[in-house]
Amino acid sequence: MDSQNLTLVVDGLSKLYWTKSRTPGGGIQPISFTLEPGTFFTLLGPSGCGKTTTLRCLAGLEHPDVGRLSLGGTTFFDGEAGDHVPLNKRNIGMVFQSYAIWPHMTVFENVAFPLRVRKELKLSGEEIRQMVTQALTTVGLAGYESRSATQLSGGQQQRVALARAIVRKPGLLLLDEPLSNLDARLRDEMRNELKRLQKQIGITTIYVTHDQVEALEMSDVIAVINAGQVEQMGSPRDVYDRPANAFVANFMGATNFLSARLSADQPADSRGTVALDTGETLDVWFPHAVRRTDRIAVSMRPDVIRLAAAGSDNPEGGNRLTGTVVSSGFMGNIERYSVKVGDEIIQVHQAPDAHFDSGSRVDLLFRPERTLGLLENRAEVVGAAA
Amino acid sequence: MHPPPARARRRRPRAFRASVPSLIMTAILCLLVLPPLVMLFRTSLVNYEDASAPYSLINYVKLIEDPLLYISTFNSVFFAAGATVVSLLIGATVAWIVERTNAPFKWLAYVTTIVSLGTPAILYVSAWIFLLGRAGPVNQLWKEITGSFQPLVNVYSIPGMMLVEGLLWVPLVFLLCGATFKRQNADLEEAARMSGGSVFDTVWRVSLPLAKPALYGLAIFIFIRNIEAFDVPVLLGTPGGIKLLTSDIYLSMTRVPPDLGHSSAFAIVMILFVSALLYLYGRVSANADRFASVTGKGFRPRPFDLGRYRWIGGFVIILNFLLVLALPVLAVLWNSVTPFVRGFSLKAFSTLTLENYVHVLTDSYYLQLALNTVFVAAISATVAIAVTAVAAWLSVRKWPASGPLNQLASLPIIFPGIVLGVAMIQLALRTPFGLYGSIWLIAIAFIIRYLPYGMRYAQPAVMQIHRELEEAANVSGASQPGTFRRIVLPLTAPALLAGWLFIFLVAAKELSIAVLLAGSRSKTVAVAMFDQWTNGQAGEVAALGIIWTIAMSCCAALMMALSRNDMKSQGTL
Ligand SMILES: Nc1ncnc2c1ncn2[C@@H]1O[C@H](COP(=O)(O)OP(=O)(O)OP(=O)(O)O)[C@@H](O)[C@H]1O
Ligand SMILES: [Mg+2]
Repeated sequence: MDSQNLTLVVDGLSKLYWTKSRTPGGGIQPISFTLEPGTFFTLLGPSGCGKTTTLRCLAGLEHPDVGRLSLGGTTFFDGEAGDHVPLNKRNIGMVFQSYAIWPHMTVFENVAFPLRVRKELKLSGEEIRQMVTQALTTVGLAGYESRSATQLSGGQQQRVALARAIVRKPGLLLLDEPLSNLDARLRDEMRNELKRLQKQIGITTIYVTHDQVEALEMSDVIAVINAGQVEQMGSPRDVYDRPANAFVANFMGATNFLSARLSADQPADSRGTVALDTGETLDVWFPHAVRRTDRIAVSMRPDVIRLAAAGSDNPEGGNRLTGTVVSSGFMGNIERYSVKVGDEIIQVHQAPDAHFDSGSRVDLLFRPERTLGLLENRAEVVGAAA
Repeated sequence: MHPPPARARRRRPRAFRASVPSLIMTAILCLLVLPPLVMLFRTSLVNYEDASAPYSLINYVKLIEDPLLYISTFNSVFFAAGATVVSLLIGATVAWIVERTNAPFKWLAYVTTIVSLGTPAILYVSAWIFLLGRAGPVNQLWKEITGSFQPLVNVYSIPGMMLVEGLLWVPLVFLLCGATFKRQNADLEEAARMSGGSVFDTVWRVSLPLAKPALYGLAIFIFIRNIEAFDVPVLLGTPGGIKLLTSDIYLSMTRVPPDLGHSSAFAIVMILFVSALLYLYGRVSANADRFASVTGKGFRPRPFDLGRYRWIGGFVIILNFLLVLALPVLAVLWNSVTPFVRGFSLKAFSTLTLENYVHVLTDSYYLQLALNTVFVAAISATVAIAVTAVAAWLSVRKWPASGPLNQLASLPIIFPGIVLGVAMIQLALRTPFGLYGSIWLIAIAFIIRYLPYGMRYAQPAVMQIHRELEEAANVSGASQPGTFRRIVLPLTAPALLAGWLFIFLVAAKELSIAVLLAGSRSKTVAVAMFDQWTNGQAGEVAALGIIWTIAMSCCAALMMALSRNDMKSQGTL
């Protein structure tokens, strides 16, 4: 079968765990998405939000409560019709968080396993050898065939796991935090490697991580999940620049929030004015529609704010707040300031050319188009629209 | 916060298919475990004096009215408690010295344990009867030194029985305690030393309290084993006129005609007693891990520097070696080369002979015994391990309907050996196909008896396999049976093999069940030793014992090697 032409359709798939007291105790609320062949799709969210649960439902390791799941023309699961393709017949490749390399087999046997257990393929020993060699070459482990799997480094184990997942040309590749066990340097390296491999094989891939940098760099589409619910689904740029709400903005990278109110409804992609709880007004950009009654969190990333001595003029116009420097820290390429504005502490990153002492009064200047007006908490309307 | 979807939980037909393996296992286990229990209970309700009478509690009434029950119970408890103290004192001390200090001669402690594991208990008992008997070397020496006519020790007494039984269990206590001490984190002891504590302070205030929950659990476990003990009560208690629970059951079964009702009622009482103790054991050992210092990868306990007390540690190890291994084995060796039982003296050296060995090695009767024993031990070890490996896998992975598997496989632990023997006789008498007196009856009884042991080895072995290793096989396209065969079995193999050897060893020396079930053609080595000993053929027993001990010690050594490897690999899997 040709792995290039399989569209994955996930429709309202859900799996909830229940605590003894019959309250929901985790899992994933209904989730839907359709992936074109070759898409690199990332499930991103904090620990315990239901990423692994989703992945296990797709793999067939978990039996979903409701929903539909199909790959290409084959329906794997249909809650209505009661269809269920057993997991060992799904032809899905998966890399586990722990790699799950079998310690009693060599590298070769580990990778050959998916071919050996599928008797219906009737592969000869020679074919198996060729396919394994090809898979190992793809991941850059040619020559390691006879090594015992336990004699490998973390990065090599991860590659073996990957080779094992792709050896029988699956229709879908699932990766559960495959990089989380590696040290920072190796993680960086493997990130590029993985992305390159995925493009080379052209396989639809679902990737689970809680590292937003990883997600941004690798993905075609990101789904941000929080407590079992999809907060936003979109391209990396979309999710980063136009977060659906305060949670997404915060999860995609450090940011400052100020609570504010609206005076009128705002359509999507519009500019408008909000009144901060402290009384000042700010010009902000609304990436998504909000209603007059919604609580607003104004989000400014630390690197879009410019510091200036209090009272200096502001030729570009835009927003201005005034505060007192509480502390500063030199971090090499930037200098990090904590500035107290009203009762709030605002983080600011500055190029370290100018320095402001603690206790000095400063103006914080930032452009309206980089000042986002977001829903303070999740709103089902926005999530569904994405 | 989020309302649960209305159709969240729905039973699917899939659930039934997935529960088929567990249901089959449950059926197999029920078939093995329940009949003895039911049969025992039934027989205990039959009035044997009046065959037409309906089921009644008459046997229980007679039992309760008989003061013998209370005497036996008291004796059993007193004996078991004393023996437990003896084995715990010696075993725990030696284990601590070996596992946690830098004392010399540690290897000697392992040799002692390995050889003891392979030696039938009856051999030890006979050796101690010889050593401590009225005309034995100890009493002789005492008489010569003091000129007194009174012997120093009377081995046919409760203290004598305590000593012998206590020494019998030292090797097991050593092994189990060793495992506990090994897990203790040396940092805790070193912290105590850094804070200014002496060696004694540290042991008394830190090491011992840390090991306490585990030691309590072990004490109850050994106590139960001692309550169930058979060899010492029959060989030492009965001649000395001391009645214990197990010897009472044995006597009422070997009386002509056997008193089935009485022994069954007795057996049920004993099962209840043991169950209560096991419940206590469960409660205590559930807490045992509370204190266990968690070990991570690369954790290696550092030995405690005893300083100038090192030689005391070495001395204790040597003493343990002498008491548990050297003295009894020397006594047996001596008996095996003397033509008739006689005390130890220089004069006797001129009469030494290898005749007993020649006899044992050439007589086909002994070959038959050895074959019988190896056969039942191998069959029961194989079946018990095979059944529990599957049951443990189903239950650890929480297959549908696997809930009762663990309990069922562990249930036979409530049967003292002699009680299971009584139950199996009654079952055999009711089965049409000549089971009674055949070797298969013994094999089935052993399988039942050792299921819990198998579970003990199989369950942790499966738990140790990271779940994702199996899931990776499933996702790769392997069916569940394929996953079990290709992933679970190879990974648990070392533990299962160690379990197999352990069951093989205990089955090969088990006496209390076999002594009731063996027919003339289905005797095992332990039963033959028992018969010959009671017939006064001590020399041949001794020769047979020496040869048998050597063979079994090799198995024991293999088992220890496997278990050690297994412990080592736990960190890396
Ligand atoms: N078998 C289970 N039974 C009950 N609750 C479970 C089970 N598996 C997961 N959960 C719960 O469901 C929630 C989601 O778990 P999941 O493993 O999907 O999280 P995750 O997003 O993968 O987290 P992490 O990043 O830590 O791996 C958690 O709150 C967890 O406690
Ligand atoms: Mg996870």
